[in-house]
Amino acid sequence: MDKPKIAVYKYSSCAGCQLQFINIESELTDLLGHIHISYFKEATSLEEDPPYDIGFIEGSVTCPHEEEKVKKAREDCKVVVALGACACEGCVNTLKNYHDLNDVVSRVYPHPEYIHTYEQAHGIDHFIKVDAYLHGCPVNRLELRELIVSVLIGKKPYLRPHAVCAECKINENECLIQTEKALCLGSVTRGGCNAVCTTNGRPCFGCRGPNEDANPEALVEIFKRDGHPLDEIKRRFLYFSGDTPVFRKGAEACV
Amino acid sequence: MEKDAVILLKSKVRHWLDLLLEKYVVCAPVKNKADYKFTELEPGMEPCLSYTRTLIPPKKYLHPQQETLFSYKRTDGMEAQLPEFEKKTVVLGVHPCDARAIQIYDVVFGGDLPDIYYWHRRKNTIIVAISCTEPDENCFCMSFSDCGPTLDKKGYDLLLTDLGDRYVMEAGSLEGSMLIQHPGLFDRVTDADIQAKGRALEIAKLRVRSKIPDIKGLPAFLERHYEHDVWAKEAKKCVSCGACTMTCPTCFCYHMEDFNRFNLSEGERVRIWDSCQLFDFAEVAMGENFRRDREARLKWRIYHKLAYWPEQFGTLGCTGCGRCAHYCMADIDMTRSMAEIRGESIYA
Repeated sequence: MDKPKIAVYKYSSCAGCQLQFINIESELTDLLGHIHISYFKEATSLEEDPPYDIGFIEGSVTCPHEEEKVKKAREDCKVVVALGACACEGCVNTLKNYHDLNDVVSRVYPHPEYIHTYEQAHGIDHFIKVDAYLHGCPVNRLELRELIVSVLIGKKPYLRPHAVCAECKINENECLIQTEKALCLGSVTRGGCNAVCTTNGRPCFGCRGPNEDANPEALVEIFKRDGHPLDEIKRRFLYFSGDTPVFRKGAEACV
Repeated sequence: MEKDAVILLKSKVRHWLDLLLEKYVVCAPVKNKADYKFTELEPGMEPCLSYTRTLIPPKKYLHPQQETLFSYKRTDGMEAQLPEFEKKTVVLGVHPCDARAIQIYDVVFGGDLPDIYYWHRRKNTIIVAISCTEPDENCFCMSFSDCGPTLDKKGYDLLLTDLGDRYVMEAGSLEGSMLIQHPGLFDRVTDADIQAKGRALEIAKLRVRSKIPDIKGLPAFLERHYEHDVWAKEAKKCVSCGACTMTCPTCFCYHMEDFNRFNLSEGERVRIWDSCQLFDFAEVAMGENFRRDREARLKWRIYHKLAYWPEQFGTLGCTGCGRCAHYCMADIDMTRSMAEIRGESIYA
């Protein structure tokens, strides 16, 4: 069998997720023994024409130009993987969704008239069919490996579908909500990150999007009990994954 | 009895610990931010033996959060490499509720198909228990006839009881008695010490609320009230984080996974703690899920421990340590739910 051809694309994003490919470091040469990189601008100047077997797409879609490109990428790739929070949920790019576009654009650019952008940013599945999701800001390297290796050997990848809290407790962390009344979204956020933020004493911002069967209304009640102002709770829900139904439900429960 | 019981003055504890550290890995509770954490003692590190509870019970030394069962490598055939096990470990300062939980674990991981990983660690583990004189409002060990703030002859290698300026130490096994054989370090137990121990335990008993009356009738009581409104009410508050099960000293469920390397010829089979509170726990092929509803999951934990466990393992699956209530961010407390079913006034 020929080695599968891989393409890595980038839309509105910081490039941190594709960097995780390169961060594999010690195992990178092993990986290159089993895949062929056809298109990956951050890693190589080599560019081969489509079709590709697997396309990893980083970044959200925020403008007409990106919508065109992401649709072309879908046509060019047999399998499409949303790589990281921007591609999966839109991430912080969706913050503009809750503000007047002119106001947002003129805050950043001296000549807003040159900017052609949508009112709202979205993850790529708003525009195309996605076959697999790798969540996180950035994606977790072990999950990246698990996905690629599982595809190569034909096994279902183990990507934690449940809350960050499971790994947080496994790491023996005292709950930040209980000890510091923190605005921690771990209980509604998908794990797989090894609870990296909470283990280092920072509350979860929900960058990995909702876990399966999350209960955002219950978490809002907990935040209210702890005396957090409603607008702060709402802002926290809209921060990274506000463009998902679950986190929006959380934001809407802040009344 | 006399030979197997001694007094250790608190001023000599450090010396005793240093002697233990020469021979064993010693793990004991140390202060964490809000609570305590069982930690491997480095030389000079001070354990805290007067504590309420640790977030994660000492079960982690017998059934670790994550453990590699074996690693494999594809050569011409298949090579498997079993992990090496740790050296003899003294787990110091185990509360009676957690020591009883280890006895329950022995049944769960024993039986016709004993778990070799568990038993290898178990046989390498010396349990130094300590009578609990620091219960709090979440403790309810007194609900169970064979529980309470101390242990009776079973479940420990050595049992300590804090008598203010000294510990009385009683051996429960040969291995335990080996820990108190250093000449000159220990004093003889006097009648006054025995009386002091009795008093300390009486005071501790008074401080633990029973919370669950009629344990014998509990399975039938729970079955009768399976559809009670209180469960739906609590499920609405539950975020399914799994803290109640991760911190439970008798919860034993794990998930198994093969993690393969990029070279596609090497990997590891790993088991990781799992939780019945998580949505994917009871999911099987084709997406069928036996406990899709949060309420079903919330009830499963409680019903398994208190209604189904006796039939499965011949004991109850709870020792009243209070962690599930204490570490619930949503303030769900099964003893309070049961009181509500009984129509009692609810204590906070």
